[in-house]
Amino acid sequence: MQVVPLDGDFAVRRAARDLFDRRRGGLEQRTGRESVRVVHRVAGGTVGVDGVGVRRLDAVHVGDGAEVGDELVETGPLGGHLEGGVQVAGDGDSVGTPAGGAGVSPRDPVGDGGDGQPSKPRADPAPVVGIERTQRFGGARIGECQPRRARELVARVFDLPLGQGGDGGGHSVVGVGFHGWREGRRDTSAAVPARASVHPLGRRVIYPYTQQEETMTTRHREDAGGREGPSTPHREHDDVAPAVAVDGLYKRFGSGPDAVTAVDGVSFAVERGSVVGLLGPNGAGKTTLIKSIIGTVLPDAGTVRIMGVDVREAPREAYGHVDAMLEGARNDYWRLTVRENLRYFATVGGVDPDSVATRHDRLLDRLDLAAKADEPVRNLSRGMKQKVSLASVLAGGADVVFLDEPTLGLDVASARTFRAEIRRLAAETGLTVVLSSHDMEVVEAVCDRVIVVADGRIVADDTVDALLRADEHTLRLTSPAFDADVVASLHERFTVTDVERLDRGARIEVTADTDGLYTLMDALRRRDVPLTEVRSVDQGLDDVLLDLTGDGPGRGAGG
Amino acid sequence: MTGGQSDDSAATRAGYAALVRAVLYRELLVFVRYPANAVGGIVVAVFFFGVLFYGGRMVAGRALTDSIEGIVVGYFLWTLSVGAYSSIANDIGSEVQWGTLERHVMTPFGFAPVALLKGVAKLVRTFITSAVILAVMLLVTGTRLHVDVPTVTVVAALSVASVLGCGLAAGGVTVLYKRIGNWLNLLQFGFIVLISAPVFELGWTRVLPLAHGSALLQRAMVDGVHLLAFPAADLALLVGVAVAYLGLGYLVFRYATRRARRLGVLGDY
Repeated sequence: MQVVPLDGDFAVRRAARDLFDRRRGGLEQRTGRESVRVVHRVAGGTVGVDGVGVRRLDAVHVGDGAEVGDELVETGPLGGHLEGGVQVAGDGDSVGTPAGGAGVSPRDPVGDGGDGQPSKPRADPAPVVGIERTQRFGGARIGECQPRRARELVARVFDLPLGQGGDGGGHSVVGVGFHGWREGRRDTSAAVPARASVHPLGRRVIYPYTQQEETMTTRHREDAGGREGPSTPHREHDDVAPAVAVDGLYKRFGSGPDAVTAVDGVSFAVERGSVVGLLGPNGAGKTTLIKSIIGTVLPDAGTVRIMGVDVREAPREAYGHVDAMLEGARNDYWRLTVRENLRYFATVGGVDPDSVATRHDRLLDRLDLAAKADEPVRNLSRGMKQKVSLASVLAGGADVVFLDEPTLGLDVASARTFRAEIRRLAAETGLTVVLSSHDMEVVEAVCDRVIVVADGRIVADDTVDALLRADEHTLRLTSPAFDADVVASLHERFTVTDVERLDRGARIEVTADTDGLYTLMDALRRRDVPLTEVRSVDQGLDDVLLDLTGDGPGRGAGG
Repeated sequence: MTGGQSDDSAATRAGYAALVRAVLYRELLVFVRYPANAVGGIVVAVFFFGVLFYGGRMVAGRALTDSIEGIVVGYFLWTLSVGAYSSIANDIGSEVQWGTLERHVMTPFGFAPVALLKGVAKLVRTFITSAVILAVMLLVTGTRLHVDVPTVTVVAALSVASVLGCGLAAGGVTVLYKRIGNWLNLLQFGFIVLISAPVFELGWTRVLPLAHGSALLQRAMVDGVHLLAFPAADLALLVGVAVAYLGLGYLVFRYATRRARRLGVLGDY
């Protein structure tokens, strides 16, 4: 148990970051409770966290019932992981359950409803599940969780057979209420559920923010991915385990003063069906990290689980879920035809090629290789070879594929096709993709999430939007009226990141969200400050990467 | 794989039989589609034999002609051995360059079994080319040999199995130290010594790779001894040597690839 001293915001942020760091990727290490004391309430029970993204403030929602001095107890597999779910300890009301309701235990989705049977005793009196990410304080925007991921997370937390239908092995049917939040209001039109909680059907749920009431119906379950249908056996935990879970991975090459730590205690998890980008400068450890995961490099420490299977305990089963394109176009046999490569590597991957012949046809079709199916690969162009490489990686139906610089050397059209196919496969077939690339366009277009690696460590792990601070904009404003008083005034109300004195006036950089920019402009107008130049200086992903990895110029005051 | 991509819900697992088929079929395709390689190998082998035969006859005259059957059998076994050895040792280097090695490491079948199987597939191909070379040698020299196919196949295969083990070991070392592959190829000439080892005078040489098998193959092809006519002890020793070297090579290969994975040099070249 960790108790953070009551010394203010900084301690909260540090403690929460520690909590995040420990729990990230620790899905399989649920070894008791850990807690962090609430020492600072921001709004509505939200605690500030300088978390995963390093550069920005996340928040962990602790519920309206949380008070300063309460302890946040992290018990579920989500806590401190990617979405920052945290439970409130004690027996108070909790977020996600109806006001005053009994709630549902993560391991007992029965509660009191549905089948008329007496409730099972709840193992955990704190039923809060926060699948939530706040990007800014003050309720500016909450919720960046994709529906699919949310469903899986909910299913995992509650051991529900979501997506398979049925009543979950004798448990009563449940509804899952999602609520997206935008601009501090519930936004039902948003397809992004900010938080999910599980309730018995028929229960009236009062959403904590809006106090809006809703009765759980089968629609809620269907919305959450469940279907009406006959009872099915309870799903194994592994069925909803992350596609890849890495914990404390460490790899050091050499010894003595020349030793190089290529991977330094890396932990993360990749949800099924997601596309995750691995970014970092040359020598950051990306390739070693990938190779350590797929087993072509043996790590010195740490665990790797693929589709819930520990690679050390059952390497063949684990690697049977994986394929990789590590060498770009040089990843298959050029003397064989395209189709022969697909058949060969499907077999080597452990799949009878005849049973996946249809898949091969579709792959060839979608990658525009059908016309070249019976052509030896050596006769094809580089772009075509790269596509064949991808096709052969997908030929065996791997659940997880690792792509190292997949678009290197491709022309614009081929790269576009490539990106579209990766996105389509992830969306339609549940394929999980981990790709390493220096092509930021690919990363921005394809990835749900980006992990930035530098010196063998993860320095950022977030969505592309979050890394880009999509909700924030930086403007460079130039005005002859920017004197010391005006600048000081702006400093008080806005985030002024740079001030450059000019012969007449000054040039400043101000960072704010959209509303903030309007407010800024209003303020300038009210003070009759003429602007001679207004320029957007928003960062691109490459700038962010350079900044994060210490190679960039930085954005701090003074530039 | 579980078929994470939902395009084919009926994907079924491939067993070792399917893997054997796939590896053999790939070898066949390359063999058939690129006959120049095979033909070139045959031409070179026959050329060297021609130099050996005609040059030797000029130098040694009748002495060589009297022992020509032994030379033909020995040369046949040497071409087989070289094929078996280099199939694994060289193939691994090629796979590294092609970028396909790591995909074979990740296979659910395990890298070592796949590597061994690929070696066997190459061995089958080598049998075909060596058979052609043998036929040409018999034509050129006008020699007659007993070619009882089951006997020759079994004895030659068991003889060469020990070399396959050496090839696995060399392949493992190649995985660790990529550039050493060319030097290891020089070991092929050591096979000549093993094939001509004086197993009757020095009994202990029988436990060396090829030596005992070469002696039995000579008896089978020159003297016409049938497989079942060999003493059981000789056959047991043949099998024992084959299994021992194959097993040893397998272990070295596994150790070397594991070490390469630890050092992070598996796919480097």
